[in-house]
Amino acid sequence: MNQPQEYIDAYLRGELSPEQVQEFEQEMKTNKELAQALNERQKLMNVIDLLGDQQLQRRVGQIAKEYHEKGQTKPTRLRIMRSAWWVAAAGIALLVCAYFLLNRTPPTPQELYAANFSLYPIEIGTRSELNDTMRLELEAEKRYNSGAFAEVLPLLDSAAILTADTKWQLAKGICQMELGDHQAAVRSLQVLITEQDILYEMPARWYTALSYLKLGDLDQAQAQLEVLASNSGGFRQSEAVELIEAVKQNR
Amino acid sequence: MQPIEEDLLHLLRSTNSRDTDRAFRILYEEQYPIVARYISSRSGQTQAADDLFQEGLIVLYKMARQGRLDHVKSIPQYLFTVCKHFWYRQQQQKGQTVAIEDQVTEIVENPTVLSHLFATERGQLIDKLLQQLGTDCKTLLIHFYYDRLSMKEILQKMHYNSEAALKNKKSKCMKKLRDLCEAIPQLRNLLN
Repeated sequence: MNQPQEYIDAYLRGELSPEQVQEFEQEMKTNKELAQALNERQKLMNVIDLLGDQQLQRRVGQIAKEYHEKGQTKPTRLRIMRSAWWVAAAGIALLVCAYFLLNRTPPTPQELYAANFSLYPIEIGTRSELNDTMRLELEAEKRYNSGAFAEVLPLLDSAAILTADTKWQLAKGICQMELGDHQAAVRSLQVLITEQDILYEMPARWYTALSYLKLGDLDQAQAQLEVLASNSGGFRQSEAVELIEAVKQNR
Repeated sequence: MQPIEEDLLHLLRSTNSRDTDRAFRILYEEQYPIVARYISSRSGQTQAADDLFQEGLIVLYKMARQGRLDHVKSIPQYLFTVCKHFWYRQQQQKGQTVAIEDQVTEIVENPTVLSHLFATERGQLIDKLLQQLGTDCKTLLIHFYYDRLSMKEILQKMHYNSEAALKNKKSKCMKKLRDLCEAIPQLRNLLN
């Protein structure tokens, strides 16, 4: 390791091969100077991160300004209106409100998805004795609740965890939704629907409907929602009724 | 990954800032109205949506540069998820109760550094640091460590004679940055 700074940079930028990473980390265990140099470099990188964030924030801020100036959506700002203009402004506001009430466009399927999607809670609680599957479940729960959806999916590849509790089949579908793979999500959730899972069939139908919205398949979305809406007092029944109306407006 | 997603990822990873700005514009057009509507439906202000969306774009940019978006099927949707996490975190910090099924305990990308960045005092310190560091050093270090450009790519942008000269400059800039941080008491804390 003749040029440690370059090696440290390559390590921090993820440019070393797995073998080189292993070698580097092994070297660090015995070489205190190297460990210290790495530590210092990481801290300086944090400072550079702040510099970069500030520079990028200015660019993004400028783009936001251009976007709002084009008039698509104005950011809310408090304005002090002079009293002489108040009555006129209120009158115009009333006219504008009336215009939008009469002419408002229904939310798009994408917007309906965004307004209705929320994570299904996955909590498995604490257990005194843990076997391998339980450890896997705890890890999956932790990653799911931390939003690391891509990291949950490899854990769910284990047949043991999926058979331990069918909620993991639901979680698999939801993770795929969060990662934008709605075709895969529909396939995963369909397992619970086909098997008429006593606990998770209805949640699976709800999330399937949302995925179909995202895929632009309004017929399939509505079909799933109809089942939920007809299940009096059941999971998301009232939301399904409202969503069906909104879907109909999109036709 | 769909073609539009590949294009977005390609733009976000481009060495040309015009490309990344174009990706930001596309995402603003496509995804901002959805985020704004989501937040306003939860009694949030449009200004809050704007701030969160900008933070989300910055996180997305950094993740793209670090190769952490390769597995993501939909970049616009991922951005929405990031903004949603920021929103919940902000609500929790304000002490507001968030419905259990909407709760997300930890964000994919820890926003601590960002949240400090927008504080006025921190912003002034960073400005001071930038001023003393000089344009060349700032550009070089940001290109290498933040934008993750290779030395060859930086060489094309900064017109140094050789990679060796550029590496030499980088070492000097890092030393200068360390010395500056040591000299400014508030920044020294960042190193400790």
